[in-house]
Amino acid sequence: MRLFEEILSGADGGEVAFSGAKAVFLGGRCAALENVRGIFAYTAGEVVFETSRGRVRVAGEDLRIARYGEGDALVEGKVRLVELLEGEA
Amino acid sequence: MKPLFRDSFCIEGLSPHRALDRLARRGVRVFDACKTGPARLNFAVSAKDAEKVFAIFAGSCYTVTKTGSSRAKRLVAAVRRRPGFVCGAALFLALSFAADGLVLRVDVTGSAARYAARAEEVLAEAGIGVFSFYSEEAAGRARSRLLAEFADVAFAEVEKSGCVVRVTLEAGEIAEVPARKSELRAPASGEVEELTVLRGEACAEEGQQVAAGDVLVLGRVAGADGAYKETFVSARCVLRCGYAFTVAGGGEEAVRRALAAARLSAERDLLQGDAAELTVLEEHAAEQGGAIAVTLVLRLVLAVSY
Repeated sequence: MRLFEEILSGADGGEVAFSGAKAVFLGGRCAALENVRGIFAYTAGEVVFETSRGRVRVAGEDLRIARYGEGDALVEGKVRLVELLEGEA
Repeated sequence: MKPLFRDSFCIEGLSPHRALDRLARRGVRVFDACKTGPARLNFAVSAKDAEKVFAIFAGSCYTVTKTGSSRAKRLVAAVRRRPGFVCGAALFLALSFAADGLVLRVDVTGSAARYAARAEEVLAEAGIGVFSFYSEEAAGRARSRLLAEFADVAFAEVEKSGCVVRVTLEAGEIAEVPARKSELRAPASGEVEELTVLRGEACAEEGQQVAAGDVLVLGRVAGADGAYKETFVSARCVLRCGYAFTVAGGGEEAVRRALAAARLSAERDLLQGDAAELTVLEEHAAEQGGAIAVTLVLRLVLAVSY
């Protein structure tokens, strides 16, 4: 996700490595996340991932985890919401 | 990217999504994880990680069941169970490929197909025969030799269609090469107005009076050593000459007919051989003792060129 590095380096003037939650959200189709450390909850309507700086909730319908491992996760289905639940922004 | 060879599993237990965490911590990537019940989850892993799954959950509270494999893996497994079939298929393909290059028959067609027997011999000498392998290089050699072998064959083609080599021989008309002129002669007496020689030796000059039959251009050229070498003539000459014609008759009408007849007679007598063009410059008619004497002054263009 090179775009994130560009955004972060421009905003904070130098923080290139961001260990918090990173997500790319395609509304109604999928959500891709990085820096995922675990799955806190998983149902067909909601998947909550644990990251080093909090939890990220992906909500929608008919959700399935298309890919998970090595810190990456891809949730497919009717994804309607990607929300940071707690921790630092 | 999802791996081509995958194994599918079903895991049952409390919080089956925690099982995915356990797999992720052990370096096993999970694909297509889908919850099928409150305590059941289906997922897939790469085929090379399948044994790891059972090892990771051995002795745990999860029940892991292998439910299937990806289509590619099933296909490979089916092929491995039937080695004879695979070998047979491979052998069949190899034989088909090899046989496609074989020649099983030679057909000779075309208007010169009467040379079929010799054509087949020529092909065999070039390396194309029954039960031999066909190559474009050999076909090219055969093509050239067929054209050289038969003088009256204007077209020869060798091509392969399946296992049959088709030879097409078409006869063509033998065109005779026209004989080249070795000299240019004056067809009538007159004055040379123009003489242009491209090849040969000029034997007259512009303004010279020549007689009928005189050589105007000779087919020879002088070499550097002064020796003459025979060649063909390529030249153009404009000759101003006279033509006399006499016809019996009298009167104005007869004179007109005599003039016309004289022109026709001049064209018939002089426009042959090397004469290319005839122009009547002057015409005179005189009545003499019951006859009309016509005198024409003509410009005759003689040309020999290749």
